[in-house]
Amino acid sequence: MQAMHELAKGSQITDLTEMLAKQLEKVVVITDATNRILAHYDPLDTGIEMSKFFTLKYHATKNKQYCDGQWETELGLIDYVYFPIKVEGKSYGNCIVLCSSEEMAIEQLKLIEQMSLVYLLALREILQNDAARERVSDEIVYDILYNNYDSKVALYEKAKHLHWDMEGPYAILVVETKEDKINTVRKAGPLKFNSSSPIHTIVNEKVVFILSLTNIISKNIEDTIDGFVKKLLSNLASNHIKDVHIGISSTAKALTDLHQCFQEAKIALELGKVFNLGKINHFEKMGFLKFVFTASAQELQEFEERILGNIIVHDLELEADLLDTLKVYIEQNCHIANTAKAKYIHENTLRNRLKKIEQLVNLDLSRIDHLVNIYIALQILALDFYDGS
Amino acid sequence: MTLRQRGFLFDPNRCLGCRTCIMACAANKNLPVGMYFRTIENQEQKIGNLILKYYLSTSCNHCNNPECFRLCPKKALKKRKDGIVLHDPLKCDGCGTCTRSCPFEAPVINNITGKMIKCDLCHEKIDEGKQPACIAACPVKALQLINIDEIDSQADDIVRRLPGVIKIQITRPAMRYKKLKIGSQALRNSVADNLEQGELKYKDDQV
Amino acid sequence: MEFIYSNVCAADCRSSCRIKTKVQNGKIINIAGDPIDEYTLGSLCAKGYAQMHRVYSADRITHPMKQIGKGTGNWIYISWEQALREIGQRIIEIREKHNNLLPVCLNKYLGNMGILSKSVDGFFNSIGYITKMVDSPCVTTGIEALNFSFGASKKPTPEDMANAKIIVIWGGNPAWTATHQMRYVYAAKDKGATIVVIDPVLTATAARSDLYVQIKPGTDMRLALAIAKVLMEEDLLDIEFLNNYTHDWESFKAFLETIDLSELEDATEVPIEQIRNIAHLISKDKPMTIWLGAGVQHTIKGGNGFRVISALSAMTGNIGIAGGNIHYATYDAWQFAGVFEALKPPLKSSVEVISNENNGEIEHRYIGTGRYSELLSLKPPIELLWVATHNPVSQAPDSKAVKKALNSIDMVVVADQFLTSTAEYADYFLPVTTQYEQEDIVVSYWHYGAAVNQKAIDPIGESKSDFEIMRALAQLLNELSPGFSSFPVEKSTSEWLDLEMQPQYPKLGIKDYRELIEKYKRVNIPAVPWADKQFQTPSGKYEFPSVFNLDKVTRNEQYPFRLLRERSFSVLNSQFRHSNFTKGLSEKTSVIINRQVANSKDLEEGAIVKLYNQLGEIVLPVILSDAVPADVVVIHLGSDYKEFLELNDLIALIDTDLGDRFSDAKGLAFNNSYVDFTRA
Repeated sequence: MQAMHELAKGSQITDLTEMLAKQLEKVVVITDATNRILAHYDPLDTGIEMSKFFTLKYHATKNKQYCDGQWETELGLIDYVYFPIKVEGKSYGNCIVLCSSEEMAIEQLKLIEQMSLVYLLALREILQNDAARERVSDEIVYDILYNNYDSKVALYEKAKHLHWDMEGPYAILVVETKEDKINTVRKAGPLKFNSSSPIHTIVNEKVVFILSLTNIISKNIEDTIDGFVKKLLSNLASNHIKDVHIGISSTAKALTDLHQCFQEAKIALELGKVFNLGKINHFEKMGFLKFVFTASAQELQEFEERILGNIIVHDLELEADLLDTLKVYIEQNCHIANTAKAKYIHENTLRNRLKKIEQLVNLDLSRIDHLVNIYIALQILALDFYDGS
Repeated sequence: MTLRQRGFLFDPNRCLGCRTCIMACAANKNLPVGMYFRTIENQEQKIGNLILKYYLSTSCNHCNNPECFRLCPKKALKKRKDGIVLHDPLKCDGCGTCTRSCPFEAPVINNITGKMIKCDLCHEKIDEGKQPACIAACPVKALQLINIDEIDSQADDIVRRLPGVIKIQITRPAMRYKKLKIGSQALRNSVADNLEQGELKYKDDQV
Repeated sequence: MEFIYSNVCAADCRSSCRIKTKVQNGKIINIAGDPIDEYTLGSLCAKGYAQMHRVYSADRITHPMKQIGKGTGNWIYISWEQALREIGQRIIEIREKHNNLLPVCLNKYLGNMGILSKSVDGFFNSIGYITKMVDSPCVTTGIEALNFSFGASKKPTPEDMANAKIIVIWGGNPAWTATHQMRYVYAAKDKGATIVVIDPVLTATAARSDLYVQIKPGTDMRLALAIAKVLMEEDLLDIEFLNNYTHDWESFKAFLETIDLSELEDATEVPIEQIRNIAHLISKDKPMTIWLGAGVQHTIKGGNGFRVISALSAMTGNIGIAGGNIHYATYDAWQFAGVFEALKPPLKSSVEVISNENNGEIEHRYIGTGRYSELLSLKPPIELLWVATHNPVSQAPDSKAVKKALNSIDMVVVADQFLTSTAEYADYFLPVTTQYEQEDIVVSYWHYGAAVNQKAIDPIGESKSDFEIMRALAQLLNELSPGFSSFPVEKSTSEWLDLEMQPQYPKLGIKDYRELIEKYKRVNIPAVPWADKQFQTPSGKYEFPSVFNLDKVTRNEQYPFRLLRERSFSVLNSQFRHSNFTKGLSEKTSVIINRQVANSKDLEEGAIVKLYNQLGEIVLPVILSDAVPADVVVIHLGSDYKEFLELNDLIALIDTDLGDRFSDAKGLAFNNSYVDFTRA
């Protein structure tokens, strides 16, 4: 009852938690739906260290109001009991008490149950406020990312309204994961980066983070961003999300360059997937591919058609298999025996095919400079047939 | 904020290659003589004993990752919340970077003003609830205005590319196609067989 | 202030699209299709949208001109007064010298479908008996064929095609020549119909078919006979129709028994299984309809080809039913009052000594259109030629012969909007208005819609409509020689239109043609012809052809390639040559050659070749294609602006097999030319 009053008076979750912890004489931790710790209070001065997230060991909660769990720390295993704060299947967070349920009195459990309702209200309000803020922010961020504004002044006004750091420079990260986890990724992003809050939004089912790089020396930028990525991945791990792809742009000097970097980050993401370059890709560090893809898509296409066009036409008309033979040959590092094996053909058949290929493309497969062109053309072709799935 | 992506659905099984769409657009937009926003390509591919033939109508694809947008040094392009990519002629200096970067060759330089022009999905018409000029003019309704975000989950006769058209998709064009269906063909192969060493052997005509 | 006018395209096309014209400050600022049009649903075509630019084209001639020396390009502007006076005086001189007007010749066709353009005929009717080049270069052979078989050339309404279960498109390319009709073809297809296309070339239409049969050019009659034989052999016949409504089926059947399928397979290069397939397709389901394009009847056996193809409809019982019949051409929608045709020269001219008598009736001397070499051999020879709504140098066979004739005719007058290839050989060029500059009416021969062309803008420059020109000339002639012309010069355009439309009013359900400005009306013609099976033949029944000449034509070794013309999407014959607006649409006029043949001759895409035969040569680039068989080359009719490549330089004047019974001359076999080519 008293808690309700307090809430109405405008108390924060931290105050409520302190109240509850003191009453129970136990450590209380409140997390949100992404397992991020919103508040905790240690009335016993146990000295337990909390990280940013508290991941529950998953226990199936049936109709029980609470569940038991165990937390592995350096000091050993700590029992806890947690009360999901949810309504109608939508989870708003958890109320965790560092004590096993057996050690707790019935009235204490009842108290926590009641407090859960209070927390529910508080968390719901926070969520609704967040959602409202996000709606406003998302619109403005979209406009910035897609250059959809009429005047620079208007743009800067809007950014100021969002408390953005105006100086720049910036970097953009684009994160892709399973569709149903996208919202979690957005919420679980690190709350602080370089003394400001990263701006986040979701565009076309990818989470976009805009990081302010003010006052960071150039040579430190990459490390700082990597730090953010590490934290992000750890936060996501706390939510059992492991399968992500991240694309990172080069540095945008001003707000008005952000649209370009947005595209770069997306390209880094897509290329990373197509060419199996790992989960995290900086646009700037993509080796020769970066040169290749700063060229326009039209030039790339013409290049690829010029190099491989004849083979493709030949294959179509005669229902032959030269293109794939070439691909496998290069994949097998130009090793005749391995390629023949992989293609289930005789080595002589392979040699004839390679000769034919050389004729069609008018290039020499033993020359490095020719091979490079073929390799790049094949990569572009791989991109051609990639459609996002 | 509901993000939509407006785009085109093109049915190669209906397109006649009549070019009405190109001219309706040109007339509607008062384009300079000889300039068009839309192109029709005659696609022909012989596969064994079948000739895959169809006409492909393309204009600006209002991509998700537009190259023109990425590379424009004057930041003259923007993408609306409904996905339409628009160009601001006031910012344009006619450098032509966009014309070289688009895989679909949609932007062109207006030879009178020297600035870039391209299809704008007749956004003013759309805002009034009307159909873009090309779509309204097609005599057989081969072109439709759709929401790409809605159509992706749908029918399995909707594809992202048509045979013979190898175009880089990394720009994520807002263009979908109906799957191409070709009927049976009985071609006069005997004639090609008559081609001996470049000399065409002919027979008398029986009429 | 913006004004909106109702107009209609007056070009020779099945669609006759209604148009809404926006005018501001006396200038057209926009044209768009009129949604009230039930056939086009408010859509136009590529050429339609270019019309506004055509009206204001810088190349449009808007003042009368005289050329000093044919073909010199030495044109000077003259006044209407001078032009008409000089021409009028020449006409009078001719009458004085010869005592008749036979040396005056009129060549007119359908460049303007507006009914007022018939005033040109009317004018010449009003001065005497002249030489007229008559009939249609387009449809004569086919019309006669269907006249023989049915007694009249009738067709269903276009919408009826959507009722068919099988549509056979034979020798036609509606995708480019009748785009709006494709809506009905697709409608049928959506309901499960099968679309069969028979064509020597894989056209835009063929590419959308369910079955495409590539036939050796010119062998359509043989293919139709082969299909008929299969129908007979396998008893896929509608015996009831054959017994009750056809004449002498037994003789036709007997003839079919004598022909050999494998010979026909050899001639047409359509394999026997495919012939059987077609026979099965057209007989297993009703209704089956046939679209006959103009292609077949432009070959030397095309007339009988049409007759045998129509026999397929008869044999399968597809005549007189909804969704059946044959879609070709008909004149049924053009039953006008004939006020211009009825004009007669003033009484005193009947003392003319003329050699042109027909059963005691004096009439004009008729020459089949396009037969310009014949003109050269006439007595008395032609001394004045008037060309209106037509471009014979471009459209008639053997352009060289046309030019030769034009060169030898003393005075050539061309009334047109642009300096056409014919105009290059004119002595006088008279500038004519477009459909936006003069009130007129167009009745579609295809969908029977009647529409008004309102006068949306004033005539550009000094241009006049054909009607205004003829009226002015009549007036001037009567000034120079009173009573020379009986042309009623006092009647206004609206009076003429009203008079001419009288018989159409009840069929349209209107009292005044101006109602058509806001309303959509069609001439009331039955949707399905021959429903009562009362054919208009002598026997009252459908008549099979009885005489067959199965010939072997020895081909000239020198010219192994058949030259076929395809209509382009960007021009209508030669009418849009000057349209800059559509200029960028089509590639330079090229010859489309089979890819393998090109490769074997070492010709790459765009290589310049000389295409030649015994008549002449033209030089143009090549386009490589798989859609064209190895022994055929295809050129799109109509050509580039200012590069008047006359395709017809290579096309000889050859008669088809029919046309001179119901018309004045056999049809023109445009699709019978052979050529060779080599790198230029």
